[in-house]
Amino acid sequence: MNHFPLLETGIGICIIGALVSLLVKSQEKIRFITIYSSFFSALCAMGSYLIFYQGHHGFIVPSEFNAPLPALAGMLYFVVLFCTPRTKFIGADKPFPSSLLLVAQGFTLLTCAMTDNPLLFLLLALEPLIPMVDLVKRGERIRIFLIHWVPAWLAALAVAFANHLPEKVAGLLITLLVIVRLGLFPGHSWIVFIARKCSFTTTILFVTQMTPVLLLVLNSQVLHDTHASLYLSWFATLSIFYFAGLAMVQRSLRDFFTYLCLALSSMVILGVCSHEPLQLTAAYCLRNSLWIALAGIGIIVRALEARHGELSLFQNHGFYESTPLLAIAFLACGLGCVGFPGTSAFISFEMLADEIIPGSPFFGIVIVFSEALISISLLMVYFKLFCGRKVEWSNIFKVRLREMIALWIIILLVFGSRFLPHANITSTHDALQKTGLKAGH
Amino acid sequence: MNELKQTLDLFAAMGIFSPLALAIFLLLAFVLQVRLHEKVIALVVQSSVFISFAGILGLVIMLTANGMKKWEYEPFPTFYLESFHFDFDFYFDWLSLSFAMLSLLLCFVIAFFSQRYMHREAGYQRFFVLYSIFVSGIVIASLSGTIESLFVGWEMVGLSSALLVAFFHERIMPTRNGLHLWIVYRISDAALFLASYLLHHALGQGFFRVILEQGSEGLAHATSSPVYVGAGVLIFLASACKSALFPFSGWLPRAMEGPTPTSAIFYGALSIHLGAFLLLRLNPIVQLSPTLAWVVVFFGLLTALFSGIIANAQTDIKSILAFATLTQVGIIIAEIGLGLEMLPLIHIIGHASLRTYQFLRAPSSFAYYKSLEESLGRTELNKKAINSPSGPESNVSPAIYAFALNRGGMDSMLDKFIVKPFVQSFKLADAFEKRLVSMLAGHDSSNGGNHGEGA
Repeated sequence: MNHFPLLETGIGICIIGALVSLLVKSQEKIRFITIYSSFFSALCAMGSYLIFYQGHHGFIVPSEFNAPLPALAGMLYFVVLFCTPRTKFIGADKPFPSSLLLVAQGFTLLTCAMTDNPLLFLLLALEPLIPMVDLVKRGERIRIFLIHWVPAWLAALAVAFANHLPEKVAGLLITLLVIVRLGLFPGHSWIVFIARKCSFTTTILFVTQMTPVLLLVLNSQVLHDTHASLYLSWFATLSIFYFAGLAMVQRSLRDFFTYLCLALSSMVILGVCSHEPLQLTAAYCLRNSLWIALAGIGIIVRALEARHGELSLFQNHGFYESTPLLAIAFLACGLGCVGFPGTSAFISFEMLADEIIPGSPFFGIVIVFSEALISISLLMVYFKLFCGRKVEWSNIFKVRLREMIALWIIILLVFGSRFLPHANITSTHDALQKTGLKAGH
Repeated sequence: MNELKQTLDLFAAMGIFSPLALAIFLLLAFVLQVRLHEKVIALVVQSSVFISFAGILGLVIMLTANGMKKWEYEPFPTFYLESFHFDFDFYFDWLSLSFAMLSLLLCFVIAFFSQRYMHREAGYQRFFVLYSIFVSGIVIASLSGTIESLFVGWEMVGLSSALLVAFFHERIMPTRNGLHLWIVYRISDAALFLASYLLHHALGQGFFRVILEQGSEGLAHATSSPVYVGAGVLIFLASACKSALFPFSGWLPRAMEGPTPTSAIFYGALSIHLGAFLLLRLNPIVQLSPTLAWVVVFFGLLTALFSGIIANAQTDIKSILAFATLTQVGIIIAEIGLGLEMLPLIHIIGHASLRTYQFLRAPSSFAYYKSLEESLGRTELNKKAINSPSGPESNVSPAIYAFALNRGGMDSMLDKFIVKPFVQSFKLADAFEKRLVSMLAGHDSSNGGNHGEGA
C-alpha cells in the first residue's frame, strides 16, 4: 500500500472506461459507464492526494506544489459529468462524447500531476486534440483550429525536444504556445469557435482548466530572464480588458461564458508572468478558485440550455421562480469569479492585485477595473436569465437531484473550500519555495 | 485587566458576529431550499440584531465605566505572507460605536416593520437573507479597524443593496435599477480597493488607528504624503459613489424600486451615509490636502443644491424623499470637508432617524392625508396643494422646472458620453470578432447560433 499507484489507477480507469464505452451500443449503459468511471477515477485522484502527504505515491510523483491539482481536476470532471442531463446522453441529435471526455479526464489528471518540463509541453500539445476530435465527430470544419494550433504544436515540439534551443527562442515559443492554448488576444478565435460548435460539456471542461498555468510557473525564471513574461503580461492585460468588455455586450449566453473564461484566464496569466513567489502563489491559488467557479457557471448554463434551448441575452427570461437553485448557484459562482469576500478567490485576488500594482500600476489598475467590469456583466446576465419576467412553472424546469448535488458541491467549494483561505495560500507558497519551482528547476 | 479584556472582546464578538451568524444561517437555509416559517425568520432576525445591539451597548458601557476611549478587537490573527498581510481587525471609538449603534437600532426597527410589511410576500425569506447580509455588512464596515475589514463590509452592503433594489425581480425596471446601482457601487469598490493599496503602501499596514493617531499633521510630515493625497482622492471617489454625490446621484431615486423597508433603511438612512462615514473615519487623510478638502466641500454643496432643486419637481413621495435625503447628505459631506467631526456625526444620526420615519410613513401617507382632510375639511388642504411651489403653475422659471423634472439630465449625460461610447466600441469589436471567426472557420457567416449541443 506504501506505493500503491492510486493516481495511475485513476488514469487507467478513465482509459478503460473510454474503451468500454466505445464497445457498448446501449446509450443508457454508456452513461452508466461514463459516470461511474469518472467517479472512481476522481476517488483515486483524491486518494492519491491524501496519501501524498504521508509520503506515499505511485510511479508519477507530483511535487508538493501540484499534488492537490489532480484531486481537484478529478472532482470537477466527475461533478460536470455526473450532472450532465440524461437527454444529452440519450436521444440527442448529436452524439455525446462520453469516451472522449473520459480520455480528457485521464489526460488532465496526468497533466496536473506532471512536473517534468518536456513531458508537460508534449501533453499540452496533445490536449487540444480532444475538442478537435469532438469537432470532427460532429462534422464541423477544423480549419480555424489548425490555423491556430499548427504553429503552437511546432512551438511545443521545439521546446520539448530541441536540446540546445537558445533561451530567448524558448521564451518566445512558450509565449506563443500560451497565447494560443489559453486564447489570449489575438489567439482566441479558435476557443470562441469550439465553444459554439463543440459539445458544451467539452467546452466547460476544456476552457475552464487553464492547464498552461503550471507550465508558466515551472518556467517562470526562463520567461523572466528572456523578457517573454513582459510580452505575455502585455498580451494578458490587453486580453483581460478586451474580453471583459466583450463579455458585457454578448447576446448569446454561450458566447458570454466563453469571453468570461477568456477574461479570467488572462487575469491568471498576468499573475503568473512573474518570478516573484508571492505573485505566483496568488495567481496559482486564484486559478484553482476560478476553475471551480467557472465550472459551476458552465454547469448552470448547460442546465438552462438543456431546458430552454439556446438562450439569448437580448431579453429577460425570468427563470428565478422556476429554478431558484440555479439562480442562487449562478450568483454564488459569479461572486466566486470576482473574488467577493467570503469566496475562496477573495484573498488570492487581493494578494494578486497587491503584488502586481507596485511592479506595474497600469497592469494593476486594469486588473481592478476589469474585475469590476466582469462583476457588472455577471450581474447583468444574472438579471437577464433569472429576472425581468414571470414564467409559469412547469415540471420540466425542476432541478434534478443530480444537478442539485452538483451545485451544492460547487457552492460549497466556492465558499467553503478555503474557509480559512490563509491555510491554502500558505501551503501553496511553502510548496512553491520547497520545490524550488520559482527558480525554474 | 485580563478579565476586562475578555469581557470587552466578548461584547465585541457579540456585536460583530451575531449578524454574521444570522446571515450564514439564513443563507444556508436558502441555498438548501429549506422554507422557514415567517415567524421563525422574524424571531431569529430580531434576536440576532438585538444581541448585536446589546453587545455594542455593553461595550459602550464598559468602556465608559473604565474611562477608556477606544478598544481594538482582533478576532483572527493577522495573515502574514512575506510582505503581504491581511488584517481583519475592528476599532471601537466614539465614531464607529455611534454609527454601529445607529445602524443596529434602525435595523431593529426595520426588522419589526418588515415582519408585517412583507407578510405573505413570495420573497419573504429572500428579503431577510439580503437584509441579514446588509446588516452584517454595515456592522463590519462601521466597526472596521482596517481598510481590509472595511472593504469586506463595503462589498457586502453593495451586493445586498443591488439585489434588494431588484427585489421585485419579475418586473424589468427593478432589475435595471438594481444593475444601475451595482455599476456605481462597483466603481466605488474599485476606488476603495486602490485606496486600500495606497494606504498599505504608505503606512505598511491598513490600520485606521495609525492614521487617527498621527492625524493630518503627522501624516503631512510623512515622506509618503503625496501617496496619502492619492488615497484621499480615491476615498472621496468611493464615498461619492456610495453616497450618491453629484454626478453619481442617478442611482438614488432608482433605488426606490425596492420594498419600502429597504428604501427606508438602506438608501434613506444607512447606505447613503456610509460614504459620509468613510470620509469622516479617514478625515485626517482628506484634510491633508486643502485642495482635496475644498473639492469635498464643493461637491457636497453642489449635490445639496442640485438635489434641492430637483426634489421640488418630483411627483412621487419616494423620489421627493430621496432627493431631500441627498440634500442633507450633501451638507453633511460639506461639513466633513470643512474638517468638522462631531457636527457631521450628529447630523448623520438625526437625519438617518428622521428619514427612516419618513420613508416608513410614505406608503400610508395618502391615507394619513385623507384622514387629515376629513378632519380639517378638504378645501384648506386642496388650496395648499394647488399653491404648492412644486407645480409648473408656480413662479419658478420653466427652464429650471424642466431641468428639475429631468433630474438634471445627469443620467442621460453619463449615458451619452460614457456608457454608450464604451458599449458601442465593444459592440463593434464583437461584430469584428464574429466576422473574423467566420472567415477563419471558412463559413459564409457566423452567428451565435448553431451551437453544438442544443436543448
